[in-house]
Amino acid sequence: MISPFATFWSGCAILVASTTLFSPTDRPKGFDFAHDVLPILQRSGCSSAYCHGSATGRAGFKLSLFGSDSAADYESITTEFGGRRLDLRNPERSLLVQKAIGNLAHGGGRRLLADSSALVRLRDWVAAGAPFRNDQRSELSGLHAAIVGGRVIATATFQQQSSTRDVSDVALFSTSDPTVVDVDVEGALTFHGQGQAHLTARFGNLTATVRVVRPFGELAPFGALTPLLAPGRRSSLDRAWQAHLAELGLAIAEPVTSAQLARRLHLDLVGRPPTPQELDHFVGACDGAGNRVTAITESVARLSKRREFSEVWGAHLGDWFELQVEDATGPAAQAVIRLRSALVQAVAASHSLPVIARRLVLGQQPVGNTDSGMIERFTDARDRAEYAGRTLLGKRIGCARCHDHPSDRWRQSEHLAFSACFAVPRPDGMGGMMAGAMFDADSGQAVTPRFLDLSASGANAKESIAQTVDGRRAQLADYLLSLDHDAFAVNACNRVFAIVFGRGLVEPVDDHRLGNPPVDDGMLQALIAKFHVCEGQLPDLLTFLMTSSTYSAPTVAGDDRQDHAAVEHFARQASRALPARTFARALAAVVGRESNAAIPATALARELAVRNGPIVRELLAAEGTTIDATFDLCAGPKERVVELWRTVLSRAPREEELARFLPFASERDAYRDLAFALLTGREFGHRR
Amino acid sequence: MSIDRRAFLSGLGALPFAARGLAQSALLQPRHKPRSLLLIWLDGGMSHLDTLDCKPEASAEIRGELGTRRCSVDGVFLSEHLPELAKRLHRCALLRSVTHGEGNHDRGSHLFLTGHRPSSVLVHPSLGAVLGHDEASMLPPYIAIPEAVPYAGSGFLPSVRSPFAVGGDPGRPDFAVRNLASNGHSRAHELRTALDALDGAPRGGVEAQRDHYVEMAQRLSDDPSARKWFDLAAEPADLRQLYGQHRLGQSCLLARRLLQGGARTVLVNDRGWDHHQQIKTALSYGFPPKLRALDQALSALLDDLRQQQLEDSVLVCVASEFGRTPRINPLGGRDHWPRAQSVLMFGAGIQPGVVGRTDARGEEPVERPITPGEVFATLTSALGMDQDLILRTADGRPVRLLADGSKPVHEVLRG
Repeated sequence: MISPFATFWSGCAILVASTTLFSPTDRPKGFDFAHDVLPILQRSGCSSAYCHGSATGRAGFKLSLFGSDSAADYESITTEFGGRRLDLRNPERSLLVQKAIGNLAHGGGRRLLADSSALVRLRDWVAAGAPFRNDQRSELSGLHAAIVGGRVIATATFQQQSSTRDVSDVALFSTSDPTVVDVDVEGALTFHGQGQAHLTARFGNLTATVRVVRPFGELAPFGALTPLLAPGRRSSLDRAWQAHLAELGLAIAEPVTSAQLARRLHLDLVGRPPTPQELDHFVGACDGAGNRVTAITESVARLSKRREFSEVWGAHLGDWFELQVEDATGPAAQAVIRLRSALVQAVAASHSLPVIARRLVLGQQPVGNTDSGMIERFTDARDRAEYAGRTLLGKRIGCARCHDHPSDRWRQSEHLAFSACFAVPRPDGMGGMMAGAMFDADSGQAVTPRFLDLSASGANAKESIAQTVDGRRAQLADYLLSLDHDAFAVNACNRVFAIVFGRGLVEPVDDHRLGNPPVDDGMLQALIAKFHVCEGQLPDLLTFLMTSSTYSAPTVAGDDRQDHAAVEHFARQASRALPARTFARALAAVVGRESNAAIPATALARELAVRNGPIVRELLAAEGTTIDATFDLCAGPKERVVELWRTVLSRAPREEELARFLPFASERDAYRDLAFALLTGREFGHRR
Repeated sequence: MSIDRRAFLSGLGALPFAARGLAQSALLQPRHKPRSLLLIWLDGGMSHLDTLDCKPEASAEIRGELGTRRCSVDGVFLSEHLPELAKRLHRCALLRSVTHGEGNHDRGSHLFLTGHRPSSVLVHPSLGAVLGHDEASMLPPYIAIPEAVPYAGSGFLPSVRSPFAVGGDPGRPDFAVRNLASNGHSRAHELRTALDALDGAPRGGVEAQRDHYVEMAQRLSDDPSARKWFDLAAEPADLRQLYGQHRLGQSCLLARRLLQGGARTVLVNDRGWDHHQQIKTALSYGFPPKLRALDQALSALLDDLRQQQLEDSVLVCVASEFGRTPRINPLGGRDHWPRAQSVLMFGAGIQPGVVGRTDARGEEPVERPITPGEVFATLTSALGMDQDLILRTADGRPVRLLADGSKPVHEVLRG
């Protein structure tokens, strides 16, 4: 059997994110229930949602979910059930101990071994009188993770005395990709395939990560390095991308052809393929590597001034801000339609992303002076807070509505205080008024509004003291768009990247947190730097992305591990089906006619509608279409086929295609059938 | 060949997360002929007091204006407008003590259709999205008639798990599923097939999914034997009459056909059960009266499943998001009431019987309270699904199919 250590050293490179090295320290003399006992129950699964941490507990014993409420758990263990869960005179006979080691019937079975260090600590704590805290340690202030000897070591730091302690025996460990490296409950690592994984250690409400890279080097699957730009002209994004791929041993593939790039560019910017004239212009401008960048820059500048661009990107912003017409009815649906339309106008007016976001938070339409009501669409202040968290900060805080967030640092109290920032006095619909405040469920007291602390140090947790609606909105806008924490810029960069590349550097896009790091932080930082330089102007950001080598990477449509890795790390792109909205736009642009029929969103219904329904068929049968024009104006069948392919697929037909389909270009009905085949075929329906 | 569950699941790590959810649900396929689910969703919230849990001895403002009748199970009173169902109730499982706290349509629907309380961060998949497919079938695995309700979709699973909506009203004489029949332009379709065949791009990911739908659409369009399952006209006129010439009756008949043809889940969505006003009129008048339609559809379905020998392969569940207030409101209606409601089941895996009881006013369960999560677990158990199944969200988060503490109602499970 190969030892994990041998596997480890032979096959992987380890990058340690933590800056603090592990320094073993003496076990503290006293006990702190929150940091010594609760983590044992947490790691043993006792306080999970499936066990005693469930809403009603289990078998009469209730713990807070994930050990989030140490005082309540202490009460539950030491006082409830007549105090019989502990036997201070004979700790070994305590129910807590006996059930944990399986000596007494326990629905959860044996959770701890009798000779384990965790059980020894549990017994010692009981023997010491089961104190809540009897040592001098202060609050937990930091957590660091490192890999030492084939296992994850978690080191906690406590305030004031600056003491550190190895908490690996009670910390929770997880891996982002068990196919690369798995971690067991003790922190021991087992290495599997190649790739990148983030190992997470959790203790108290802190999280630390360490990155593991196992290069694909020996696979060399993706051909020779062919950078788009000469080394001296590579952008910061390219440099970060190349460094990331080099670290992973993933080679860079030949970029897509100029024609493919033109199609990709036009679909992304204006939601349709290029016209033959645009195609020729772009391909002509791309004679060399350097000129390709110029051609892209010129195309973005030209296309971003078009109405189509504002419609496409206004719709993207509508999705970003969760303005879904189908989710609303009546006046709410009308409000959503107005907001979506206003976003289109805002893009057309060249408003930057921060300006658009600020106006929405302030309650203004992205253009004009009417009330947007974007956040106020939600009646519940907690819904408003979570909505702002997702869309503006890129953070999911919803879990903390009911319990402390299990994989982030947000506590329930912080969620409540942040929600209070969104509570304003308003009619309650019954003739009275809502108080405009949030109340603590236990004390009944109004909660002081407080912004989420997004800084590492906790320094930017400010209280929202404005009493007026406008004052509070202004404070919120300042906070949400603050450069101090920069969460909006990070979120915006990742969102725009995700729209262009089909997936974000951070996925899901609204879940930025320490335990969910980006695929490559260097690429994200390059993008953020550009965002600040261009002050969040969308066309500038898109130019930066689209002139990168990453954007020109070819697609791969396979499903094996290698393909998946290439897509995951942006060495290649995944083929993407055109969304119904884009398909309809592309279809109308190519045929030169618009259809009133809606394209169904679900896959089978869409396929049936396209295949058997009137959508494509009636468009092609209309008078004066672009398709008919190519038939009428081209000199002969071969020219027609070539022009048809250029119009629909943005490329010339291949030899075998020409040979196969030439006979259908002599007669109009057959030619229309050929156009039908192209418009409903695989290639047209995907962005490759 | 046996598959080690743990080894198989760990191998899924190599797949994209979206694909993992799909591959995991392949585990749901039992070794024998898979059971199918027909969920009849009475959208809006069926009043338990006017249908399946009548209180003939309660005061008028509680029992309402509709009469009651005894049924084939002692001590159970159904609405007088459900005479045929009353004769057959001994063949059904009636859960009269279902209770929860979600009095909002969306939240109640999420709870019932997914088995999980609604969450602000996660939409869970509905049972139909998880149940999977019958590989031998040419039909879509999950079909909604006429369309799905919110939260009856794929949730956090890939959208390919969403139901196919037939659209239209099966009760209309001219009903036909939209765009199902080929438009006859065979040359265009042949050219398309030839063009796709010459496309040199690799076939994986979304392009492979698209090919799957193209093939399914082609089979449905071109193969009358596949399309026939959508064709209600193929049913004998007297059977159509038995189901009732109305939306609900014909929807149930269509559902039976589709399940017979190999669909795994059919959702029949019967709208219009949100009776805040004039509940007596709403339930007993109209074209057809709501209760009469329900009575016809369910009794015909019970008999038809037996006739077609589908009793052991099709599980039928009749449910809605909540019950309605015990006391008639000033507008003559009943409002939302999640603290007590009734759910009816029959068919595959279901042991007939009446479980639970509400108090004399139909306000609360006084015996055997059952949560929607437990109803969901009962369905999954009767369908032979893995009760410990763990699904994964797109970002890899493991989520149990069954919510914490959701155990099947064993009293109504056969064997």
